Amino acid sequence: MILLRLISWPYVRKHLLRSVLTTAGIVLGVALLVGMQTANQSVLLAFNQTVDRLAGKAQLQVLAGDSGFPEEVLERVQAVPEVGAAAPVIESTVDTGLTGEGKLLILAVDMTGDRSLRDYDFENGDEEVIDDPLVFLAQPDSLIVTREFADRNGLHGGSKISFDSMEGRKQFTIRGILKSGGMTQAFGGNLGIMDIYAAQKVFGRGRHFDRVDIGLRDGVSLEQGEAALQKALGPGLTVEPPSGRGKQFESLLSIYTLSASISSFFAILIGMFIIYNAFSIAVTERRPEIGILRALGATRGQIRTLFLGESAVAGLIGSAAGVAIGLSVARTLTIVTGQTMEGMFGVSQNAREVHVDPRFLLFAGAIGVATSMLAAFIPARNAARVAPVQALQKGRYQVLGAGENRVRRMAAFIAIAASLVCLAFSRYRPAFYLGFACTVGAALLLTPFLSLALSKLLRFPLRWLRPVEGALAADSLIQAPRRTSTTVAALMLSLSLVVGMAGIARACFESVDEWLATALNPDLFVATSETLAPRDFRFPAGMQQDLEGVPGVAEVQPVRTIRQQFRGRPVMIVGVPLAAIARRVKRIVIAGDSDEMYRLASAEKGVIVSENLAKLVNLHLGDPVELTAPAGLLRLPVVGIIRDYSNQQGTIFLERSAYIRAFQDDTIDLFRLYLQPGAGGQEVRSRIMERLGSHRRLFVLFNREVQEYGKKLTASWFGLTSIQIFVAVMVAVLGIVNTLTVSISDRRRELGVLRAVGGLRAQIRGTIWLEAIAIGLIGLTWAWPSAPSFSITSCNPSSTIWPASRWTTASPPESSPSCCRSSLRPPWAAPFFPPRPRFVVRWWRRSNMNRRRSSRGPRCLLFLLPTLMAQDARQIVQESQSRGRANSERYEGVLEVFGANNKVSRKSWTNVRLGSYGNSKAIIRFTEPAEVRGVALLVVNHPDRSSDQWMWTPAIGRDRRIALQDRSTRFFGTDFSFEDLEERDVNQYDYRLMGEEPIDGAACWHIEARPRESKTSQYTLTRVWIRKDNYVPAQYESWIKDQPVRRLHQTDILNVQGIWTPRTLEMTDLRRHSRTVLRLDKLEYNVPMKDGDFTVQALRQ
Amino acid sequence: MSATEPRASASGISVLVSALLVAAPLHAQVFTQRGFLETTAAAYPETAPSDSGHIVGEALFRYEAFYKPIPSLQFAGALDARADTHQESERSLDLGWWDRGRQRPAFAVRRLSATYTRGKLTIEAGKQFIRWGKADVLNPTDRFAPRDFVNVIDTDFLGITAARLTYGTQTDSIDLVISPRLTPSRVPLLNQRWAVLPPGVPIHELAPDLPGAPQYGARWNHIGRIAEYSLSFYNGFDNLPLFRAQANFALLRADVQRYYPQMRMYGADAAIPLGPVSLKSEAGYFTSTNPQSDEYLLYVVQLERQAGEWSFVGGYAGQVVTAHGNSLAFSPQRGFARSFVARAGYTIDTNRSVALETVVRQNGNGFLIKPEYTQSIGQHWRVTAGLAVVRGGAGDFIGQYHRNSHGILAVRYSF
Repeated sequence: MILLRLISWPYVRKHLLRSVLTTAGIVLGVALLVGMQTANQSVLLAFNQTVDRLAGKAQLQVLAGDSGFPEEVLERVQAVPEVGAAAPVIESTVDTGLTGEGKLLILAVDMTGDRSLRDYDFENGDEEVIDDPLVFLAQPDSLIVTREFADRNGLHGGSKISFDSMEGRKQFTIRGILKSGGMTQAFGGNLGIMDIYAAQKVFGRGRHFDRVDIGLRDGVSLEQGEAALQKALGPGLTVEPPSGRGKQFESLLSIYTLSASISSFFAILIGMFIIYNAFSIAVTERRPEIGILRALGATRGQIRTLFLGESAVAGLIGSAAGVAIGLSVARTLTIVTGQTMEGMFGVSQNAREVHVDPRFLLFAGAIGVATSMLAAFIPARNAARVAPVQALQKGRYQVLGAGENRVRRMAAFIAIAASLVCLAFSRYRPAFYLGFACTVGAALLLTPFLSLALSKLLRFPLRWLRPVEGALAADSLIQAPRRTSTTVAALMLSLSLVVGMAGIARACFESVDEWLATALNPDLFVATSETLAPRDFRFPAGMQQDLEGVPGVAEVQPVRTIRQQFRGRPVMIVGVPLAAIARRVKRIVIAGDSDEMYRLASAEKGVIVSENLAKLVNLHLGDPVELTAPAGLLRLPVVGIIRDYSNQQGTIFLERSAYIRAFQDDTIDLFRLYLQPGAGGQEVRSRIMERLGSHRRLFVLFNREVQEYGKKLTASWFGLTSIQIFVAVMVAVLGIVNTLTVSISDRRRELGVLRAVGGLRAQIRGTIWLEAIAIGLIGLTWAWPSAPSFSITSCNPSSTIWPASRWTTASPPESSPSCCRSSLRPPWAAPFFPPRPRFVVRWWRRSNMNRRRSSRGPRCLLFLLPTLMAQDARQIVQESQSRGRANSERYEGVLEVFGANNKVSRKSWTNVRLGSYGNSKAIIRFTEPAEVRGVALLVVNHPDRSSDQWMWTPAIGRDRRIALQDRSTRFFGTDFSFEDLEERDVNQYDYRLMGEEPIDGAACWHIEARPRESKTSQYTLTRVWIRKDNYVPAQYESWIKDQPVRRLHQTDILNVQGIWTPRTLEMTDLRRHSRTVLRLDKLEYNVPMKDGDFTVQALRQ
Repeated sequence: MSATEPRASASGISVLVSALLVAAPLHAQVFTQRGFLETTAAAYPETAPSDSGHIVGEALFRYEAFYKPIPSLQFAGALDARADTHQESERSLDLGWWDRGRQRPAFAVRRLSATYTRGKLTIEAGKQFIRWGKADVLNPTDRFAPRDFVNVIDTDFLGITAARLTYGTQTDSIDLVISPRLTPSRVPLLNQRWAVLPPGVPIHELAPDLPGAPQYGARWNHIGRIAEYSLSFYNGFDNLPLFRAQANFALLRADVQRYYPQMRMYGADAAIPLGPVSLKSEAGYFTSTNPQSDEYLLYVVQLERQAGEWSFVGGYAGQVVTAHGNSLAFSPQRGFARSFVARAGYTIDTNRSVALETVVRQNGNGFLIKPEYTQSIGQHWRVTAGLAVVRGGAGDFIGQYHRNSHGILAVRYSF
């Protein structure tokens, strides 16, 4: 401790920046590890808590996967003598639309029998309602909510809340409030209880239950009860304790957790190299000190302990900072993880609290300290070995022995061989990890040898480029091989990760793109939810006929998907008419004959499985697949293996009739619709909504919408990749900065001599720059061939690292070459292959902007520039719109019109809007002046054509349709035209980036938008300036031919409910020299509104 | 005042007014009100056979209030108070409800209704305004909208007592209306210039024969991608009268009595945006069980364009009579048929606008031109100055008012 204080502390103080940079790697790694693991554990805990609290006294549950089972099963369960109480349950999550409340978990139970399993502790006065179940049952809109939920939303007995049902949005009356405690903590308190038979109707379950909760008779053990029930119910139904559901969720989450762990591992590994480098240099720098200490009697052990102690302190500080940062970002990551799990797997939880596990924090801290000490071990050992006399000599000390290099090379080749062997057995996770470690190890072992060789090779071009500075820079690298090689190793790891990740991301995007284009080719999809993933609502079987009767529809294919355990994995079972699918979709066949497999499968003589499932559980053609279903065990052989990315854990395709018989479930999640030639998608969609939309919850999605959603989900999954790349780049930068700092300090004497003999400052700077460039080049050169090995290892399907959802999947082995190809492209090129994750888009956008201004950029980009800029401008506008997107909006506006002679007239209005760009409806209702009070305008926007508008004039009691050309008319004498009040749908314009220009002192992108031919616009073009800091349009300028006619200037930008919103809009009519200022007040977003509030009838009210 | 017209009690006024006023402070967030006081002066350069006056002054105070106790329920009320220099309004302080009188009531309930909305269903009951049709120059299908024709070329709508049920989605709506009794359109006063009577014959008007039976109608409206159209049906009575005339030789006068014949209408209307213009069309075919009534098709086709600050509406209103009755009739709606009708408007700036309206007979026997200039002053005041030039032959519906060309000046204070 004394040595630390007297020897180490002054050194750290003297090199504070270097010390901070050294620990930064550990900080990042530990922060990532703590943040991601804490978030994942919080999500898992939230789900488990919900399951536990809802289970009540239930000891066992009878389940049949997602499909549920018929009501008759309940009677069979009740007939088992070991069963004391059995209560059926339906569970579903709904969106109440209440501000700030997310989802509400609906637990639907039979109140006549459920109280034997669950305690319902009601507020005073509610007991009567619930004690008499007839009262509760007689009112199917009855709902019980928790005290927490009621308090948060100002609800009380008799209050009404609404959510979507299969018959459209319905209102439910709160007829009871549960006291806090116990069950009410489930799902973050967002719990609603309703009658199970009402829920069957609300959620389209038919006469099915999701599960039966069971309490066993006294004296019956869990094992006895489980065995008796399993015997009575047969293999088609699963009997397990409530905790079983948590395990299923955990297995889904584990994919995400693994990915996060690998990122953390990389960060810490790279950090280790930085520490190693820093300590190696410290040992070199402090040799005189070491010599003096040894001369004064310090033992080798004390010297070693001194350096290890330093590293332990650095690791401790880094770990502490990492833990603090990790915890601070954990809440955000928890929300992101929760949303990702729900979006991809349709499994809802409500993780409101971050669960911190002190043991894990200690573990993370220990990893940080251990990593730091491990990295410092070799430098510490070297320091201890230095003889006092040698230590006090001046000179260079870094030499790599030939024997040392030979041993390294041998070890590297052994590691490569081991990696290849492991690759063959990579479906076993330990083998995969070992192979991965061997790959990394081989790359690291070869680094000193290769970096020295590359440094020598670089000496010539560097000397040619700058004779003096180049030679000095190259010699510096050659003469300090340890410093160079450790930096290069860190850089290599970082860049390999960046290149590999970009490659993997691109390969997966390509695969998913290809699959989306082939498998999801119907013209329209009719689904129960906008996102397709949730399966809380289902369509009845009879709806197929309704859809077939819609004019313009050529074919309807019903799809039912459930998730079920198969060989310990939550696989997806898809019940579809396979013969019909085969006619329309040409899938990539991995094994089996295409025609034959569909013929056999549609004849119920087999199943088709996805390639990733076949790999994961080692399935081959002819192998039997056994599925447990309510009707019993379904055993069919595999008749074909196809490429399918519906589910990361694998998919089994089953003929629909076989599915219905086995699972006793004829409901439908999704309809695939093919249109007749010449039929317009928009018209058919409108017809479907007219015929069925009024009394049924349904969403009609265009093919492009589904494709875009699929791509978006893929990008969302690769959001994690962005964190990995960020960490890798950060660590790489830290490594280079650290190395250069050390290099400068190392060569102080040399640099001083250079200055003394007439060397210029610029030459010294040039030397350092060239050294940095050389290190970067060496790292990149080494990273490039290393990246494919990372990709191959990471792309292995059995690792289940990479994407997982209904839309993305593990990259199959066949895509590994694709990974390699992608990895071989330079990292800057990776983002140019669409589609890209958003972070890449942003990075590319910014770099593209900078490149535009730089004449030194690659020439080839000049040719690509127009295309890239067009795409970029569109993305900026899209981003701007997406940031301002809200489901609904309400505000009160005050309009002041200033004429040419500055006369002012004032108008006030209220505006309500439902929906967003391209699909919104709005009502503007004037409140002042008195003469126009009550005049109202209904605007119905369409994505593919101009809006419809109606005006209500109360003075004549008349609604009047406003014609298309009216949109150029000034809006009630203001300087806004009707068209200016419409939303600008991105797809209705072509964009061009004109450059950058500040507006009101804020940097803005200047973009030109020209309406497409289909758009009827009074304007030839509109120029928009979008602020770079918050993506809010600061100004619009609308032109007719070559003359600007209107300018809209938006100021007073405030963050309202997370949306940056300009609250003052000044429209100037440049021809009339008049202007109108609109000020928005009482602005609210996402206010609950109904479609029915935006009809011509509603306009009159 | 007719003996058949029921009257609301004076206390009714106070109850209504106090209900509306008290509601304001109690529920400011769901209470809205508006109103105006307008004074109008019309100057007629020529005298008419039955009216020697040159200047007619009128004042109208209108107060409207809306109260929403809950989001699904709205009460609407409106009161009119009138005075004039020409006995067009009654001089009694009674509160009019049914609007069946000869003159305009000095105080009248213009509107008093309750509207209940639940989902796609809207029910409105009470005195209200119901407007059908899409055209602007003439609305043959607008059967539940009687008008005040005391001044034939400058009219106002009258509310009717009815129950209206509307079931509507985004694209379709069905309107069912039942009115327990007819509210007739108000016709020109016999002793004033807008009633053109045969010269030399003293006319005595008997109490009108007003029907007591209910009237009902239905309308289906569809908003399609390229057009909006509707079909309508009405069964009830014509709100414009036929006249029974009988010579009273004892008193040497002609006794005239208004009566309102049974009417059935089959109507349709459509609005089709065509890009540069909008095409709007409306037609109604009218039948009657009364042999005195004509059976006819009344239709209108108009083109409309609004561009920049300009708005143009021009069209043709025509009629085809399929069966002729033999009774005298007063029907401005049919009177303006077989004419070209046009209206142009220009908004000069936020406070000023000009408009020009013309009706020209297809045979050239009559025409009407109405230029108008409107100027708003501040937030509350508006001044309107206009002319109405009427020319034509005495045998033409428009031409018969050729002595009634006039200038008009109106000042309105809105609050």
